[in-house]
Amino acid sequence: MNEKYSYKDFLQKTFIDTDSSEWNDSDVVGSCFAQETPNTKVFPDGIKGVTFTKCNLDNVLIPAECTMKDCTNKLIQVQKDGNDWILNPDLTPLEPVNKADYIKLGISTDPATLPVADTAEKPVTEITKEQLEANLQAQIKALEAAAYWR
Amino acid sequence: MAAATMYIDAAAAGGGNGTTWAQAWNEAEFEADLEANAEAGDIYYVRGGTYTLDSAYDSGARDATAVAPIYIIGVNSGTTNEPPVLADWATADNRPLFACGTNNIGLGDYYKVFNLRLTGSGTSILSVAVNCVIYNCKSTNSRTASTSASSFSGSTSTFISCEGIGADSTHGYAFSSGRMIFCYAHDCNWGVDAASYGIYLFNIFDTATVGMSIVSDDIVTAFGNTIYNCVTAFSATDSYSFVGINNIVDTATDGFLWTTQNNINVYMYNHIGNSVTDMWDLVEETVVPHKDNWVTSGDPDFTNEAGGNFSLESTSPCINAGMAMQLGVG
Repeated sequence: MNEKYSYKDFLQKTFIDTDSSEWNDSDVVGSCFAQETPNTKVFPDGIKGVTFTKCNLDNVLIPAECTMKDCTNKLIQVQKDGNDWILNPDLTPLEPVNKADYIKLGISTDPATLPVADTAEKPVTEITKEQLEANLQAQIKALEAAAYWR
Repeated sequence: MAAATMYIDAAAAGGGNGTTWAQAWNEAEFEADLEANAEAGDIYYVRGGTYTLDSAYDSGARDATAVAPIYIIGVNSGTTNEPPVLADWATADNRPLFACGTNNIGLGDYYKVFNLRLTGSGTSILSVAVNCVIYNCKSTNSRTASTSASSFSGSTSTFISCEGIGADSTHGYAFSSGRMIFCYAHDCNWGVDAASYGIYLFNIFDTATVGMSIVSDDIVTAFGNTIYNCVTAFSATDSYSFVGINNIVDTATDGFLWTTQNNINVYMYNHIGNSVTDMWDLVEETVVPHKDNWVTSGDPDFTNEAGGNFSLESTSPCINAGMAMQLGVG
């Protein structure tokens, strides 16, 4: 196992200027190399024989002579609705990263419905004002009930 | 099934049953159990180490209850006690690190999350539903995309002694109806976004566009907070029933900036520090009650504000100058 680069957090970091000998013919395990921009070059030219295992390589360009095992290597980018979407290889949006939240909130996951201009909407992971109000009302009722039974 | 205690270790090979350190689950097994099996009263002990996420966590369907919350507790990497004792709780860089990448950790209701570090560039790194308690956690969101992203988000939850770090367009905290106590938000767009119906006590907001953004909601209490090097310390549109007492504002273009002032706001004993261009933008231009009793301007004498040490030197004019807290009154 490549001790220097395993089980580490390298989010948004690049290693283009590192010596390829630090990487060649090694197993890199359990590290995060994820980037915010699709197809970001992270590793130095010419590295070979690197096996990435259980690594997060989202938006990372994987060198040709390296392999991945149980890794994620999705293309992800924020869209005009303010949320992150998984992209097709041609960088068109495929589906939202937090698809389950969209479905729960009844929002379409069809990329054709994405707004064409930036939206001021909050990320759909955040609670809506209606949900907040419902929660507050429930708490008020609970407090009232507690007071009644005192 | 009955509530259980589970053990998580980043270096675990996998295939264990999670009931002891020797049988500890790895990251993928932890996620799978949290999403499919977590139930009220469960406790997950997470050993120090780096946990790299390959997908988002979503335990929104696994809510706990007020009397039986689900605990996720970070402990030191060498912990062997079963269950761990308080001395095993991880602090500082010994806390387990969740390297989220572009993923979020989304938790349901009534979770208690202690002693974790998180990094990511997603919309919200640690997002809790309602009635959760987050203690001694540090979350860093390096997202640069211009959206309402944050390091922590939630609603009607309590954040205690947490550190939220953002980026140019990323907020430290984003939540409403919450409590935020002894927290540190810094190097972010807004220290806290959507601070409605909330109580904010003894927090530090350091280097941000806005320290506390109260948006258009109401009933916010801010007591004893320090807001340093923010363009605007407190920003709101037409919020009412705001109570701001004993706060220290130092180095800001605007102190309290209300777009539409409301006369039932209360501002008392707040300290105007160095380099505050317009402490009472709009507030001073309208008839707002309770604006007397300000501490006079001056350097609050932080120990080392550039280094993040906001304790007060013995020479500080803020010592014993705020509203006195009386015990046993009434």
